[in-house]
Amino acid sequence: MKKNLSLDILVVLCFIGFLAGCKPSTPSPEPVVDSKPDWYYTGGELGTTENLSSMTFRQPTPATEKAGLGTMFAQGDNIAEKDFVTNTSGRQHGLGPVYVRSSCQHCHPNYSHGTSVPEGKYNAKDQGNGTLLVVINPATQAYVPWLAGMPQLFGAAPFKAPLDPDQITVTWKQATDEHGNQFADGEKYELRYPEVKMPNTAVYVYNQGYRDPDGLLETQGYEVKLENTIGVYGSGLLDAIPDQDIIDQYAKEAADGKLKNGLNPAFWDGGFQTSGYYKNDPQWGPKRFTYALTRGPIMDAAGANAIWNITNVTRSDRTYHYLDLNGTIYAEYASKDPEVQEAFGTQEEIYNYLTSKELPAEMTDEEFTQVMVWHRGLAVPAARNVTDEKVLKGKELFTQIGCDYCHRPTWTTGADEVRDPNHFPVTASMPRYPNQKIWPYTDMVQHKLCMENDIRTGWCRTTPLWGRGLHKKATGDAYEARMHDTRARNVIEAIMWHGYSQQSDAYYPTQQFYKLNKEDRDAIVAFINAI
Amino acid sequence: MQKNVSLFILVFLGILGTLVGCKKAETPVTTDKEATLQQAVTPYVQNTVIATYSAMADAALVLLNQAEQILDKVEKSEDYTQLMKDADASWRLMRKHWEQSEAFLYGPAAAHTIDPHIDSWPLDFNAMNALLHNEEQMKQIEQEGGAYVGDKLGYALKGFHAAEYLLFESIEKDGRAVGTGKPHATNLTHAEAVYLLGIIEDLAQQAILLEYCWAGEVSATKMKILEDGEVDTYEDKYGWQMINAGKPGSTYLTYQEVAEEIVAGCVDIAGEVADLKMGNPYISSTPDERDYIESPYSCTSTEDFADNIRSIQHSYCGALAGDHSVSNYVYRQNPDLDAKVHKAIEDAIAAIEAIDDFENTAKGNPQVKAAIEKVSALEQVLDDEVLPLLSK
Repeated sequence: MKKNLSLDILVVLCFIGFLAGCKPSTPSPEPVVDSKPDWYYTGGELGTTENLSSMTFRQPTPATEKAGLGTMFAQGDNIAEKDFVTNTSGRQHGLGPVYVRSSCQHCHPNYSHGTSVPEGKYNAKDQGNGTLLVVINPATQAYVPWLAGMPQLFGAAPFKAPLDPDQITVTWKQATDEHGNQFADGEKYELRYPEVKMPNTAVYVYNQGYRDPDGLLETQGYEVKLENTIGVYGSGLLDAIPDQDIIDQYAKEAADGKLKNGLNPAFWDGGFQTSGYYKNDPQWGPKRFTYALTRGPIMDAAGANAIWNITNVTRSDRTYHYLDLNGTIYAEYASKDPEVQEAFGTQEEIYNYLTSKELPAEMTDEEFTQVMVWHRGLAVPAARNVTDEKVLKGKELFTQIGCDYCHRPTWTTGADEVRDPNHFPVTASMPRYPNQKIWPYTDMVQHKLCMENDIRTGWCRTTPLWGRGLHKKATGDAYEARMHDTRARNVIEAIMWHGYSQQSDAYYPTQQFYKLNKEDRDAIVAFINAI
Repeated sequence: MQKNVSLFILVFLGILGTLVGCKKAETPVTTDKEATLQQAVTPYVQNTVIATYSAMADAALVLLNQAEQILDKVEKSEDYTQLMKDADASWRLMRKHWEQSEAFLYGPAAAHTIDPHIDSWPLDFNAMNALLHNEEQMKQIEQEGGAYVGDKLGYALKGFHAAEYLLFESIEKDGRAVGTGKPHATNLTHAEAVYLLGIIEDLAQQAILLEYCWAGEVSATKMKILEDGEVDTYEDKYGWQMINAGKPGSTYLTYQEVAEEIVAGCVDIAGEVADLKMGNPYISSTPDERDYIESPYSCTSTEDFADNIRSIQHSYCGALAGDHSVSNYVYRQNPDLDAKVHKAIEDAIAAIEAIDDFENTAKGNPQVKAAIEKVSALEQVLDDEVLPLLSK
């Protein structure tokens, strides 16, 4: 009996062994600790992606997928990703006659900000460099009239590039702040800023004989700056912030008197200004996009404009070309160019083509709608390491030293009724983000940092910090490409640029940061990289 | 006795079952997620990624030699019918390896813009025509070859598809160049042959660059091509970075992050195959539908799609028998989910391979619809179930 019992036990054990042996390595699932604070959902539950891979900025929001817009999003993504071509028909056709870049990805690699600009020849041909050349009259800070505000660097044969990128070079100069670029504990940092050289021979119309009334071309008295692109992701969420809440933010900042430079009078001068509204019309709300705060609702904001003016691909609401600021200088000189005439036609035909306001649409309404679904549907990455003690310490210090004054952590979206100043015939619902608590870390207001070789006019909208810690991972950039012209290679450099000038609106919090010990400084850096 | 024999057989089978059934348990039993995922990374880097890029670069070298011979034959006005057939075969082989790499388009392929550099379409025929008639530019291509093509020409004028256009036959149909999958007629102009060689030199440089960026080394022959072309090699040793997650110098802080990257790459290409590569030609309502076909001249579309899914298979399951992979970890956490992924991969490949004549029948084709559904199902299980499991 004992033997039989043993055998039976052995048999049973063996069967158990057989069964278990099939899946012996199936452990109990590891314990899941779901301790996500509200700031983990940077874009709210409708606007946050938890895909934190290098593809993170390319992900659709949960709202996009819930609305059944996943395929349209993918189609819009595909249009944004691929190069436009100079063909006169077929897919992605219509590039040119002159253009800034040939795809969205050129300036927004993986839909992030542009990558850090290397020293040397200015490369706009390959994807990555998202900086635009800002060519201005230094006396007035106005764009020069003989180039487009976003100058084109390429021409579609037979047309020639308004600017020859091969003649443009970037040099990084060193700056030293009042601390000698060194913290009290000896840790050093570097501050660099770009210097752009562009000879007048790089300017097509100059080479063709044009001379500007101000004489800037002849004397090379113009100034050239770099202005990097801002990541595309999360734009739809910023679009959903209620107008009145933005105006209230201006009122709060005006009232407390903490800003050395006050507020830009074009937006607030004893009250919110009409010129602060998009198209000077309150129905479109306060301007909220671009460093210079030039754009309002996303349906007519930077992306909707760029898919036309960067490529010069026309569509039903943009049946004309984006040329120089004056509007006719390039057309006049291109039409006189014998090589263009030989390939295209008479001087009159060339001029009329370039300046026509009634060109056929090259991008269909359906395609543009797909692009806008994609644009409004790009998610923000969830915050990382939200339970890490160092990050939590940094979060506390971020507020304590006053970073949160301009980098306002959170907003709550409104009903998010999509507005389109162009009344474009949108054939599909856009992704919407009503009543979401979002964490962009911007006050949506312009301030001055008074840096060396500063941004044009000095006024710059506080750039959202969300997702920026993933820039290197998403783009392969060697640096973090922070600040408007990629001058800051990491968070420390970015912070210290904020206090470079005693006239900076952020001088005080920067000095507070300077006084922190290394552990606390590192904690703030960890927090900024986590959000 | 009979009973005892039966018992012993059962005992034997039980022990055997324990041993054989442990196939997946070759991974040391551990609850340490990082350790389990770490085991998957080296085989992934070596046997899936580097092996694929290395094979692609090998095929590129053969193709490069054939392009040189084609130019020589054109210059001497000699027949090159067989050479064109051989070059087509090399292009197809190189292309196969590229398609089998599309689940790992992150890393060097993205960061160094190698993907758009070699795989942009549609082609810019307007610009190509201008280029071929521009004596100054053609002279520079003849002198500088791949270096000029790589540095000076836009993405829509180089890469696989520009080479494909010159290597495969296309016929005029409704005002468009429509591919037949047959070799290009041996009537290339001198400018076209020069341009073809420049494109393939550049293509070979980029293929070798991919291998170098991941492996940190390549054969002497390949290295010489990079050096001769003055190609920036970046020195990012991406494979090392993945294998050494958490160490100084690595982009990745954890092996979980590496595993998420691997699976996110799979999700991305599955979505592209379903929604765009197959989806656009299926639903296209415009005369541009032919432009949505990715390899319109070689007519290798379904082969491309199936190889894209194999790229997922090699990434998720491992390329070689016995390779540790992300699948091992998923299996240990949720065997049913792992089985679901394996089945979704097999179903997707089978559905794609069942499509007849994709290039000419895609629009509204129920076979295409079925394949789209299977690939979408694969994308969903990876995105909605595997990625969340990894990120827990």
